[in-house]
Amino acid sequence: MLAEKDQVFLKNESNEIRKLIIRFSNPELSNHFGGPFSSVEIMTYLYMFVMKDMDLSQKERDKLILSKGHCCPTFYALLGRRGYLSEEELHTYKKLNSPLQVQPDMKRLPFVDFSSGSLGQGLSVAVGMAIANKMKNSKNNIYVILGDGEIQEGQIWEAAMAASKYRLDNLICFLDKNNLQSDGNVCDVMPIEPVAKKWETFGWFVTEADGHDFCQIDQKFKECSQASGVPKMIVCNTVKGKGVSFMENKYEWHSKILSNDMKLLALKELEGMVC
Amino acid sequence: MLKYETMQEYSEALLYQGETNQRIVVVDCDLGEPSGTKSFRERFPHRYINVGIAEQNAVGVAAGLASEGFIPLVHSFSMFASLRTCEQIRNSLCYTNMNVKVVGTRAGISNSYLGATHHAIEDIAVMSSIPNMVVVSPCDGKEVRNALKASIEYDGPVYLRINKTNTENISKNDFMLGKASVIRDGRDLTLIGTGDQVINCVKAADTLMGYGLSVRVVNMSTIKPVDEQIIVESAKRTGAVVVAETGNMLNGLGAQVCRVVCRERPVPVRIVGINDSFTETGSYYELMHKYRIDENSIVKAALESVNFKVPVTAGLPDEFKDDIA
Repeated sequence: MLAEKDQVFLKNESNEIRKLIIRFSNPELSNHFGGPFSSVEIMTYLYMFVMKDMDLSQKERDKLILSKGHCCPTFYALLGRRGYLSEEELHTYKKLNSPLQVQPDMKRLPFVDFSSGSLGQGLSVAVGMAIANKMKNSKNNIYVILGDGEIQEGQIWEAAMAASKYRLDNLICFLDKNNLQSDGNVCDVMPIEPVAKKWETFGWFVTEADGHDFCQIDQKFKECSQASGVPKMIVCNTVKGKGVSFMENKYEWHSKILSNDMKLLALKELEGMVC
Repeated sequence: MLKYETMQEYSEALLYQGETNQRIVVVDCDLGEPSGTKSFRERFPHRYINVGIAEQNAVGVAAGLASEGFIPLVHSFSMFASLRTCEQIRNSLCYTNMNVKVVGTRAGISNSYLGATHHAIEDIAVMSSIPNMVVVSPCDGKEVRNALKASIEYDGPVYLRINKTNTENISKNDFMLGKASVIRDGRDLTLIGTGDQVINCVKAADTLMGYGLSVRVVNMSTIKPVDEQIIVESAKRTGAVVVAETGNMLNGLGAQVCRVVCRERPVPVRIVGINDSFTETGSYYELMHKYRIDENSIVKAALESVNFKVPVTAGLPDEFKDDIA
């Protein structure tokens, strides 16, 4: 069970991260909010708890691939909270010459473990990294965050087979299942259910969690650590746009302009959240 | 003259590279046998990965291995290695500048009897247009060995395009990434070939000699970055160029040569390549003949190119006259 103080810390961090994302969003441009907000708790847990003591400028450590690359505002905000980026640097997001590209770019920002953006490719790369760690006898884990719309890509299932064949128990995947994608409901655009069963059939250890509940994420993550010889998948049930009521469960907030007035409204709501 | 089967040479060279460099990992897509990886697999099973018929995943897995310090070599027929994987090569390999070698085997029409779906005629154009990608096209067994070594020593993505041929070795032992080599020198015309077209250029040059022409033959073993210097020098020296490639004549090596020639020294250029059409099942030589990419097609293009030459020396200032042999 996650200690009380850790729970409070993580909840507080996730709230600060949402506020940061709102603050550095560009009020003149369309910004991704839905996906970044649904993945806040998953990524906060990984960067502020599991990898908390790891120096992100070092090469030999656990790695995280944000396969749904457009959720990188959450990652950038986390780098800000961990002291790798200043708020001033965060405000360069989406601006010309910025290391904070709209999709994470490892060549411009060294803390990015692998560039992403084109959906469906991150899991294959993670499989390659996990095989590499096995070859090197390294104990480091590889984490991947996939979107539920993203798993419509065929390459995901090619990678799922390979992870199973090579018994990659150092590969832990989080499915940010917020049930919405760019054009609407996942179940309308292209149904993916039964998700858990699909991954199980592909030879993965599968478990489910409320993706906004740190205790559940922690519990399921620890369950995964027990399973050996198989890759692991935590299906995280999440809410797209989580934390800002006018964004929640609205597919149009996948990417949209947030005006300065609306920014204030969103910040007010997040300020009011008691942790 | 002794003949060398390119895939056999590749297989032996790969095994040798595997012995000398522990970072080399082979990634296969269920085409290991025709790609010449069998002996590597048997010798280094712990550095051999077969992802099955899943080329897109193969490229991603290779990218992950490379980011952790390995040098993966992904193998498939050129057609699938370059086109099925095109977007993964762009975004997972080249955008990230990963140290991965994509080995496309049976390039051009050398997958002759497997038909049009297995012929790689667009790979030169597609791979060349991706930033950071280096495109290498060896012409014979000896050059396959040298090209593999140089590709592994280079830190970045490489597309190694290997035709399945069985010919005598014509390359010089001077392979360098980005450097073409002059197989024989001449004054009246330059034939620039790549891969399996270099030997056709040599044969065509022999025929053209019979017509009293002195022909330079250039082996363009790296298609990208193309050796601009040798193109300019050849245009200046011989005043007419023919480019031969086993692929679509649009946007391939010929297009690159034209770009350089137009900018630096406009002279007549003819391209011998497949005339923007799909191919079909047949023997290698039948296909070469039918799709007009054989040595006779090169001879014909050469005569056209020479006949098209303008006596440019007439109106030129003196300092330029020296450039024309």
